[in-house]
Order: sequence, then C-alpha cells, then structure tokens
Amino acid sequence: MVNLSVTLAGLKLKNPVLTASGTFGYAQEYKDFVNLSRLGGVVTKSITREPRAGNPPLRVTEVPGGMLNSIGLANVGVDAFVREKLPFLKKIRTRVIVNIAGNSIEDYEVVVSRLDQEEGIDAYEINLSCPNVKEGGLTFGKNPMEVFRMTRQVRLHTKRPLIIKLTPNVTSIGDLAQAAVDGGADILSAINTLVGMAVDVKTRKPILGKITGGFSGPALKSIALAKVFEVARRVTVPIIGIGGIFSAEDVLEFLLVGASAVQIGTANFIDPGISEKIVDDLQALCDEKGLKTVKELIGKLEIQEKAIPF
Amino acid sequence: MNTDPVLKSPKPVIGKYPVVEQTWLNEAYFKIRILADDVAQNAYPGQFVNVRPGRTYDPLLRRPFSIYLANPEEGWVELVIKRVGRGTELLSQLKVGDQIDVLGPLGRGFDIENVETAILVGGGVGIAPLVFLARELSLFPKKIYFFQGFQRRADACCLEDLAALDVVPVVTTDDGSFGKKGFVTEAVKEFIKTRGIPSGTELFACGPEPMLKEICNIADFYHLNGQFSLETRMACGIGACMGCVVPTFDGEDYKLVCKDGPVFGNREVLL
Repeated sequence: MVNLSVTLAGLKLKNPVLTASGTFGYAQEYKDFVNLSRLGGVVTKSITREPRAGNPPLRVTEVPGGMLNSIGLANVGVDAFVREKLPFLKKIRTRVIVNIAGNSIEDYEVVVSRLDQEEGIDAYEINLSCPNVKEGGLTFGKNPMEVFRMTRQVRLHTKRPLIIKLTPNVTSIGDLAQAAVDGGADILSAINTLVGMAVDVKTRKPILGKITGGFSGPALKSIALAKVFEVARRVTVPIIGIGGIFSAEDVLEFLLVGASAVQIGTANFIDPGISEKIVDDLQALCDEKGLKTVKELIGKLEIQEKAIPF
Repeated sequence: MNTDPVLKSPKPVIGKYPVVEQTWLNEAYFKIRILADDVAQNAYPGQFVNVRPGRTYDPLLRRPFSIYLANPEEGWVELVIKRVGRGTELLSQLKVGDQIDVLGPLGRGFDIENVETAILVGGGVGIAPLVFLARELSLFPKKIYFFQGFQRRADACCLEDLAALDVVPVVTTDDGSFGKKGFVTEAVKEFIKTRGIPSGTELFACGPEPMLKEICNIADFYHLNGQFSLETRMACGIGACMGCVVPTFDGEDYKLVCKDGPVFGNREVLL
C-alpha cells in the first residue's frame, strides 16, 4: 500500500490532503461528515486581532464554472478563537494550521504572538489578500516588497512553520514567491481566489454587496496549476496547491506540477465529506499506479525544458 | 418566541435518495417526494434541505429548499419547488426512480410552543414550509388560519393538502382571478380588524421580501410575535462558509440564514 505521508519544511502530514481556509470553518462544522483525523490537516478560517462581522449581503453567488464570495473575513477574533475553537482543534489527530489576516503588519504580529503561546497549532498560514489600512488600503499581498516585509516581521515571532498564501491577482506570482522566501517563509500556498464580479442586468446592480469577490471552483483549477508550476520553477520551498480541486485526480495534477500537498476548498461546500473521500481515492489511485510513496509524483511532470513558457 | 438557538439538534445526514413521486402543481411549481427515512425522522417544520441540482459540478452549488412535508412513518420528505433557473430546471426533470443528493434536515425551524392561534401567511412558493407547520399545529387543539397569496389563479397550488387539515384557508390573488382580490397582507389586516386577536396569537410567514416586511409591520402594530422563514443565496448550508447572512435587528451584526435561521423572529433580524 502506498505511503501517503509528506513532509513540508519539517511539517509532517499523514497525507497531502488539507482543507482550505474559509471553506472549512473551524473544522468542527464538518465533524458530522468527515473523520477529521483522517485528513492531512485542516486550515482554519482567517483569524484576526479583533472579531469581524464581515461584509454586507449578498456574500455568495454561483457563476459559470464556480462561485464568487465576499465574506469579508468574518471570524470570532483571536481571543475567542483560542477560548472557544482551539480546544476542539486540539482534540483531532491531524495537523492544525491557523490562517491569519489583518489590516496592518502589527495586526499579524499580535495574532501570531498570541497564538504562539498556545499548544496544538502546527503552522500558520498568512493571508495577505486584505487591505493594508495604514498604507492607503492597497492589498499587502500584491506587492513583493510588502510580502517580504510582512514575512520577515511575522517570522520574528514564531519558530513554527510559516506558510505564505499567494494571490494570483498579480503580473508575476513568481516575484511574490521569491519575496516570501527571502522574507523567511518555510512553505508557500497557491493560489488564493481570483477577483471577479457578477451583474444583475435587471436592476443594473452588482450581485455581491461588496461589488467584487473571490472566484473559486472547478474553473480555477487550470489557472492554479499554471501558477503552482510557475512558483515551483522559481523557488525550492515546498508548495501547497489550491484551486478547484474536486477529486484525487486533481490532487495528482497539482503534485505533478510541483505541489507537495493540496488544499480542498469550494468542493467542501458541495460535498461536506469530500476531503476524506479524496484521501481514500488518492490511496486507491496511487496503489493502482503501483507507487510506493506519493512523494514519487511531486514535481515529476514530464516536460521538455525548451517548452517552458517563462 | 424561539430564542433558544437549538430547539432540536438532530445531526443532518447526507445521501442519495430515490425520488418516488414527481408532480407538476402548475406551470412553474412542482412537488417531489423523496424516500429519505433518516431525513424524515428528524425534520420539523421550517427546516430545509440542501440539494444538489445534478450529478456533475455544473451547476455547482446545492440549492436550499424548505421541507414541504415530512412523514417519519413512511420515511419520506416532500419539496415544493418553483422552476426559476438552471438548478431548479434540472430538478424539475427528475423522474420517479432517479436519485437525488440531499443534505439535511438543516437549520432552525418554527417554534410552536405557547401558540394558541396561528395565522400563517404564504406568498407564492413561500407556502412551502407553512404546510408542514400547519400539519404539525393541527396535531394540537390550536386554531389555524392559513392565508395564501398568489399572483393569479394559475399559480394557486397545494390547496388539497390543506383541505385535509383542520385549518381555515383564505386565498387571495393579485388580479382577483381566484379567491379574494388583492395582496395577501391586506386580507390579513382586514381579518385582524374584523375578528380581533385572541391571546396566544402568533404570525408565521414565508414569501417575497415586501410581503414579509408588511407582515413585520402588522406584527409590530398589533404587538404580535412573528416568525419568518427567509430565503437567500447559500453555499454550504451548515454554517461554515458564512455566506448566507442577514443583518440583525439592531444592524450591528449578522445572523446566518442556514444555522441561526432560516426561521427568525420579527425582532431578530432586519428585513
């Protein structure tokens, strides 16, 4: 039987299947549908310094090939997270990765410092797709220099593995990846959602309350694969692939282009039990291929160097 | 008032279940009966199921529908669905014997404790959760008035299911082609004016937003408790995505339609 375990910068996962931030709540929402201990790990909703109510409705809508969301990082805040959500996460036998968001570098530093005092957290994933309020509201994650500064500052507050989540809404995701690695990131995850919008022609209004939102779903996969491939060609740190993963075959595609693990996102909304099913299917699929370890697939895309588009 | 967040908290189940009946009720509404014993056992009025519209990921998201009736003895649930888009079009094509992927029962339904007299008001397909409620209420010695508002005669449906229950039905159509002419909310106001309000009267409503707002006004004016079943776009249905919010009454926060609702009190959320 294939060995599904993978190790990312010292973070050992029993299998490469994680759940994506914002699509799995605080994991307890899924306990009736998934044996959480069978997953490689769970990634929490983005946690912020203070509680957040989130954006005005509508927050979600289906569009061709996927969905748009503008939740606005609604979450209980770091104190309530530690008090009310972390005890459950400590009980499940899988890796717990806490995703963190904020409006200033200081916000991120405060949250990481607070969480670093707690047991039961295996890594942090930094969500940089939020506005930097002190710097005129531009998204941190789009500017390589900001990504570098943020990573370097957060790095000072923890020895736990630090994952920087990359946005695809830039000209060069490779530059962002390099900046994060230069700042001290141990692992990169890619990609976050693509910015999109939908319009109601009857009312002439945007469908989402916040006008634009993040696009995710099956149609994101091909874009995410290209981005993970690009990042993998640029840096040597392990990568977690995210975007439109609905099956074990999809997981294999991400491993082949260079991801060491993956996150299941939007698929959790359609089938709350899908993450565990993907673990089962991945096992069967690798056994069928006669693999000894799933690691044999990572970055093993058959390509000719001269065909690489960048 | 249903201030208790969890009246009953049965675990929702997910599974593929066979369709055992499919009936067109009029040009746009159809009813499907699904043999889903574990859903039927736990469901109570006002709860919903989140249903996959097809077998592929296109359309992608599940569609939420109120449970029209549940029969735990025979192990089935029924949904009354209005055909409005691609998802409901696909569901309308389901035939007897086809499988349907159901997640449920979900959410917080109606609280019927301490209700002596119930005024139920449904607009269009909004009558769906109220028929189940009427059946549940009719198990007790309660007086039930059931107001149904439709645009025209051709839209009217589900009357035979109500006829089997001990309820006083009032039907209105906007164009007067069936029942009383005018909005259903006007009929409710007129009824209250002429009959007065016995103690223990509670308003239950489901329908389009303007109708719910007017019912809210009526509840406020007569100091009645009101419970409303809301509809919105939804993704997960289990309180994880935080997509289906409605502002709280004070406008300071949000409630989740899928978990805190879909049934809310008239002083709980801002319509």
